[in-house]
Amino acid sequence: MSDAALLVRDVLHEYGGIAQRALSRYLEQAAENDSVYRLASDYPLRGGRALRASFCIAAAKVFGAPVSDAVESAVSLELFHNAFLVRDDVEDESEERRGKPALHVLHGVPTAVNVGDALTVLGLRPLMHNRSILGPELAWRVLRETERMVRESVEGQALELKWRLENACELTDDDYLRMTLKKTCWYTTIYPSRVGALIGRRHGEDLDRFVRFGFFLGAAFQIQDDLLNLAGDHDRYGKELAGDLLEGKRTLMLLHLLRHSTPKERSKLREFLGKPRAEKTSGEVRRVLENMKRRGSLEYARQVAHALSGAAAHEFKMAYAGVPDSTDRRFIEALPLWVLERL
Amino acid sequence: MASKQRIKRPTLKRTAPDRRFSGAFRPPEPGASSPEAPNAKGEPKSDKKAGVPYEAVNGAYRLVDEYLRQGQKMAEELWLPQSNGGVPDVGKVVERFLRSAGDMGTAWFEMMNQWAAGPPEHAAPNGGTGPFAAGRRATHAAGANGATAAGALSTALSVSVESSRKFRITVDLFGAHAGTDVELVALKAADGSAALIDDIVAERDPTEGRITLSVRVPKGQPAAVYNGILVEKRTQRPRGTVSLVLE
Repeated sequence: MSDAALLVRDVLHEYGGIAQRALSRYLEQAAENDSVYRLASDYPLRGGRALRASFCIAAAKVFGAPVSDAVESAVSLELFHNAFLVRDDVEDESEERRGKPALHVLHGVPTAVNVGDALTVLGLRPLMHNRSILGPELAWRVLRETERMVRESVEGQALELKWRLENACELTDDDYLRMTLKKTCWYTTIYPSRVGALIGRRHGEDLDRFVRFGFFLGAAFQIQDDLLNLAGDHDRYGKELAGDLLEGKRTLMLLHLLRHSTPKERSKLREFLGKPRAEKTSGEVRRVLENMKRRGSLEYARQVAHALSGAAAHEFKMAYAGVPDSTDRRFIEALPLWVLERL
Repeated sequence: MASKQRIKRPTLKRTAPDRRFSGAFRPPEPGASSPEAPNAKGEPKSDKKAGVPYEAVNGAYRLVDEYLRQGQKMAEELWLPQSNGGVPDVGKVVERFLRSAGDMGTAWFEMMNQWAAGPPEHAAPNGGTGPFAAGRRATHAAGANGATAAGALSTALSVSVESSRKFRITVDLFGAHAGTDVELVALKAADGSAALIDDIVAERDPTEGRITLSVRVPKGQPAAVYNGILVEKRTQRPRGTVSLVLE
C-alpha cells in the first residue's frame, strides 16, 4: 500500500469515526420515536468508508476550522448519501448493498422508498443545527449548497434512468461525464470540498475552483467504481459483480464497446441492454464482459480514469494553492491517487 | 487616393498562460485520424495509440468550463432577489430542495420557520435584508367559519385560533427564538370599538420547548382588526406582534 493510501486510510478511520458517532446520535434519537428510523439505520450501520463526510471535515480543517464546525454538514451528507443509496437500489433493481441484500429486497419497495424519505428528512436536521454552530449566514450558505447538491444529484440520476428507459446507445464520453458530474461528483467530491471551504474560510467566494477539482476527482472515482463492478473483488466491493451490466448502466466501457463493435455485435448488444434485468442471462453478461476485454474497453476506461486522476492532482494545486501544509492538505492531495488504488 | 490599411495585431486566443492539465499532453498531429474512425474494412479501430488521455481530459475540461458558465448563469437567475438586495425566500429554496429529494412537506415548514424566527444577535447581510432578521417574516394562517387553525410560527411557537368567524392571523416576531417564553395577554380592536379578546392560554411543551397560544374568539365578537403584543415573560420586553382579522 502506498504512503498516500495509508494516509487516506488513517484519516478516513479518524474522521469517519467522528462522523459515524455523530450520525448514530441522530439515528438513535429518531429510532426512539418510530420504527421507520430503525430501518433508516440499516445502511449507515452496515459500515462504509465515510469518504464524503471525512472529505468534508478535512476540507474545512485545511482552512483552519475545528472539526466541530464541519461535523454537522458531514453527517448531513452521509445521511443524504444513504438516502440516495436506498433510492438508487430501488431504481436500479440492485440486489446487494455493502455485502448484504438491498433494503428493498429485505423489506419491499414501498418500505424502502419511505426509508429513503426518512433519511432525507433526517439529513435536514444537522443542517438546522448548523445555525447555532456556524451562525445563520454561514448555515444558510451551507443549506444553499445542499439544495444544489441534491438537485444536481437527482438530475444526474434522472439522466441515467432516461438513457436506460430509452435504451440509448448513441451516447458519447462527454454525455457520460456530464451525467457523472451531476450524479456522482456533486455529492461525492464537489460538495464536500465546497462546503468545507465555505466553513473553513467563512465566505463563499471563488468556490468554483473546487468544482474543477471535485469533478476530475469524482469522475476518476466513478470510472474506477464502474471498473470494480466488472472486475473487482465481490467481498470488498459489496455489490453483485457485473451488476451494472444487468442494470444496463451506461458506463464508459459500455459506450466504448458500443462504438468499437461491429454492426452485428452492436445490434446484439443493443438488444441485450434493452432487456429487463430478469431476462438477462449470465451467459450474455459473460459475453459482453469478454467483448469489453477483447475490444480494449476496460483498458480504455482505466486510462481515462488515470488521466482524470492526473487532472484532479493538477487542479488540487490550483484549488489549494497557498494553503499551509497539514495532514488534511496531504489527505486531500492523496485522494486522486487513492481513488485509483482502492479495491 | 485609397488609404493604406493599418496593420493591426491579430486578436489573441488567450492572454494568459494555459495551465490546464491537458496542456501536458501533446495534441494529435494535424491530419491524424480520429480514434473513433473505422478502418478501411469498416472495422472499428482500437484507440490504444490515439492519445486517449488527451481526448478524455480535454473533453472533460470543455465540459466543466461549459458547466461552470451555465452554473453561474443559473445561480444568477435563481438568486437574483438576494443579489439585488431583496429577501431570499427560504420557503422556496427548501421547497425546491424537498421536491428534489422527496415529498416531505412538513420539514420545509419547520426549517423555514426556524430560520425566520432566529435569534437577533446575528445581523443579516446587506443591512438586514437577508433571511436571518427575526421578525421580518410574517406567517399567515386563515380559517373558515367556525374553524380552528394553527399557524406554526417557529419551532418554538404556534398559535391556535378558535373562531366562529372567518379570520386571518399574522404574526411578526422580533427576537423570539427557541426557548423564549412568551405570552399574549389580549388582542385589542385597532379602533377600540370592540371588547378585548383575552381568552388566551399559553401552553409550553416541556420536551420540545414549544409554546402553543390558544386564542378563543367569543361568539358575537364583531368583525375588526385585533392586535396584540407578544411579551417575553422573563424580561417583559416585546418579542412580536399578533394581528387577527375577523371578517
